Amino acid sequence: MRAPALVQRLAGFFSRGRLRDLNEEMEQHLELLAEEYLQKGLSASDARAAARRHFGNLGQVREKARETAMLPSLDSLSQDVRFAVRRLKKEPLLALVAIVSIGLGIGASTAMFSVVNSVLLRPLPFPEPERLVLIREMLPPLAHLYPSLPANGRHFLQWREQSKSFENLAALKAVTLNLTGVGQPERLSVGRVSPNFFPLLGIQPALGRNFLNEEDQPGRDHVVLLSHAFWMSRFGGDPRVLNSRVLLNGEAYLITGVLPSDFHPFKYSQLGDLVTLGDSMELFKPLALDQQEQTSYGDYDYAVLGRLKPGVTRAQAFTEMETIQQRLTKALPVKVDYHCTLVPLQEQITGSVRRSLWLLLAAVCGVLLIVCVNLASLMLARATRQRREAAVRTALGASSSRLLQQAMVESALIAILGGLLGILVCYAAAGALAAFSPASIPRMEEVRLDTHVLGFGLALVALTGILFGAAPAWLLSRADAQEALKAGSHTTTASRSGLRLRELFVGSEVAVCTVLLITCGLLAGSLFRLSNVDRGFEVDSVIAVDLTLPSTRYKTKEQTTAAYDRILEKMQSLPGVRSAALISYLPFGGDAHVNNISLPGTELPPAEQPVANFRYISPEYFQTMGIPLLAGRAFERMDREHRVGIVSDRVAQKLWPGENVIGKRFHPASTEVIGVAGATREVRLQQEPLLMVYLPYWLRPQWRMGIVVRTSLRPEAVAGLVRPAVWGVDPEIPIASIRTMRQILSDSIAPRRFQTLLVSVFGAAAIIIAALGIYGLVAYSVAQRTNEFGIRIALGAQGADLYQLVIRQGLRPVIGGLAAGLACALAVSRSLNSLLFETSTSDPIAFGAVTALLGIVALVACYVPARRTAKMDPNLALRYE
Amino acid sequence: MADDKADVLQGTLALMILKTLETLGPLHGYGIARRIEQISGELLQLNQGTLYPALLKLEQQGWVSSAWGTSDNNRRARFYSLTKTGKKQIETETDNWRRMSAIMDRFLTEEGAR
Repeated sequence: MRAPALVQRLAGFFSRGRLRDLNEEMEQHLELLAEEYLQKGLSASDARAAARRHFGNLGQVREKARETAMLPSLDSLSQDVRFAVRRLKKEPLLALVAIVSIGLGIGASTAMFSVVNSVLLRPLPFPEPERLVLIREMLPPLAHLYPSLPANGRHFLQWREQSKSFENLAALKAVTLNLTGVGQPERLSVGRVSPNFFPLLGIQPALGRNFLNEEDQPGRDHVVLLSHAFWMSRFGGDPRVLNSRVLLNGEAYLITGVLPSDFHPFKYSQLGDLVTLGDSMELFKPLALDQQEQTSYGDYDYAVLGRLKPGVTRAQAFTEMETIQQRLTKALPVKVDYHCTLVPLQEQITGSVRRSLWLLLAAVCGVLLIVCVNLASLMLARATRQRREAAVRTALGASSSRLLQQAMVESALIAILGGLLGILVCYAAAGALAAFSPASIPRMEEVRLDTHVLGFGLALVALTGILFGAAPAWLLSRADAQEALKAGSHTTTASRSGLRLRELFVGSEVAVCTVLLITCGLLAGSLFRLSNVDRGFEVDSVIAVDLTLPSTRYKTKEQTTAAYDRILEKMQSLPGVRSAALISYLPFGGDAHVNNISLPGTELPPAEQPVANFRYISPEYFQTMGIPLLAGRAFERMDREHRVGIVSDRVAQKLWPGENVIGKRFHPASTEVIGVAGATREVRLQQEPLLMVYLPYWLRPQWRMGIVVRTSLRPEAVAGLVRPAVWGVDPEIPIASIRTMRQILSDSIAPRRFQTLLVSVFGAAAIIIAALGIYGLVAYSVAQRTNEFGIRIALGAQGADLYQLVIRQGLRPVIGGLAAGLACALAVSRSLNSLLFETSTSDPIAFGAVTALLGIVALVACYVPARRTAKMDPNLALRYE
Repeated sequence: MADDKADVLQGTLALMILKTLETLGPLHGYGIARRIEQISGELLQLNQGTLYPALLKLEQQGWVSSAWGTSDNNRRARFYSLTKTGKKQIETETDNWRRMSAIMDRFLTEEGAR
């Protein structure tokens, strides 16, 4: 059975054997014919000529045979590819510039898309992730400060009992525990979870077993599950750790299992505001709510996850939960109007970075766009240069569709080669993004190059190929072969409209560049203002130490207080230390120890009372941190007998406006005010100073405390003395970190800085490319108008006049583009509002600076090629073609 | 002139080749060309090269097959031979040709009669 003709032809394309045979045949045929004529008596050369004539046009026959043996379309395609390669080799610089810039653009864009895809678009790596929701509480009186709150323990139990919308409800709370007995003591972030937490997420332990329901009680809860990362780093992946024990806070816990490697425990802080720990959880133990936590007076400190029953919508579940909350409002003794919020888990985890990531993707695609437009311009110039060649080919019989095909093939080739380079760039860029991105971007560990990313890259390759292939193709279609062949024809209609098209390109490049630069300017201005905002305290010359006392050895308040006293003494005696102090929670960590404050005798229900951040400090705190005491005094030894506190000036204004507050009392616990401190942004840098209450640490000495040290030398020099000093008091105290306050400040701004840095890089690339585009266009038009300039010089024009002419023409598209860009930027920047700090979306400084920068760059880009006019010899210019 | 000849002969050339191969058996390209010119009484001076694309097409359609062999004067030559399908095809093509020429006849005599 013979294969169909099409298949044969395809085969014929790839194996030229048949055609080679045919050539041999035809050679022989000619020989035989020549012999025939020889016998008829012709001379050798005449015989050959006659044979040729009799045979027919060998070239045409070969052509016809090729067409029959192969697929002409495929054949012409392969011809075009080879031709395109040859042409590119003739202009290696252009080819290199094109391929490299496309490669960088596509690579960077695809890498950014891989992040957007993995973080925002791809569903969470759990079964049926769309059914997972996070349930938080909402208390209307606090909503302006805290739009939602973590759940209360008692409420969680009630929800679990009463709700019918969920297949599963589980709670999670992160705590720190000290790991001892295995090498160096280490402070770990441990997740307390309901036994159904992992089944809810669809996660099975890779080794061992999950918690049992009976282990979810205080006393029976000394079991742990290890995260894969912790198992590898601490135990080297040894499966024998199963059923062995670890010491946490001095108590033995049985290791019942190890979690799978593809489960990346999220950071507790990703589950909403008002949670105090930002590290990833390394171990898990049962929730085991104790008595206190099960009351309504317990903390609001639990993240509650729910899996909706199949068929139940979020709206339905929300309605049911609101009803339950109303029942609680009536039933519970604490008179608060409870509400709730239901947020899809993915949205909760990724919501905070969504805007930022889309912005970055748009910015990098903007750069790619500029690259393409620039290339289109270059290709257009090249097509104009080569229009004579095209005209000759047309005259020799090439159809316009064939010329078009050839032009498209050339740009497709560049796009594909650029795309291949882009793959390498993408790997590198994605790796760099993963390595250097701030820890605040969630799900970065899931970033990988999958089929969606590949599809995006391919789409970009196709789009770029079309975009900058269309331009010369368009020019070809406007070409009049006759005109092009005429001598001195550099002012053909085609080349004039080519020039206008290029001006349009330059204008659009400038517009996109403007929008990008203004975004950059707004972000940079925002970053600058944030870095320099008045924090209310010192960050230079201050070291911050984060440590935790092992709870086994410091069981009573007295022991803990004594330990801190000793540590502070040691610190203060170190060389280079001016003062040292305790603080229960280091700055820029967010809210912590949030509680109501009220005047004694007020009738306000708790939910409507003002809310303050409480901090437990040692007496030298204010002087160490450089916070001014506006009235009264700091704590002293004698205050250990009484209940005293220091409030920030905002609290003073709020509770006792216009009065002298020293000596006044406030709740909780009828605390006497002995001092007023200046306002600080200790909680969050970008937030207005909050209400702060400072209490002495001996009232509530925690195991985990921060120590701040004011140094007279450079803080880095003193940092090395801290560890020995602390371990001199007790060598088993884990020190989680020692950082300078500058570093802490810097870390808190890191996400914003990263974003601004990336956008700046894109902005810089954009303006360089746009400048090159402007330069190219002006240089081209100067060359074009050489004749005209020659005439002008001959007629008496001075150098300055010519400069003016050139620069005016060069700046025309720039001004148009700038205007369009500024208008666009005004519209677009509105959406940036949530990313900015104390910067208006129409910040005149940013807009002005960008306009000035672009103006200068454009002027320079026009000026350089304009210098050619000064060197023009009018005689040569007049004869220029 | 050469072009006109090729156009006219396109469909008919195939039939001529097939008929030649039926009569003379396997033959190389030169041989087929000579035979066709001979039969047409030297009235037909075709460009012999045009044979080859036609032969390729016939090969693709499966009516003819080719192979290397040795000619009479001990030279290497590629011989074309009729396949079974090709042999059957001759009848169909002949019928088509006869029908076509009959129609053309009527056309021309009609015209002539006016």
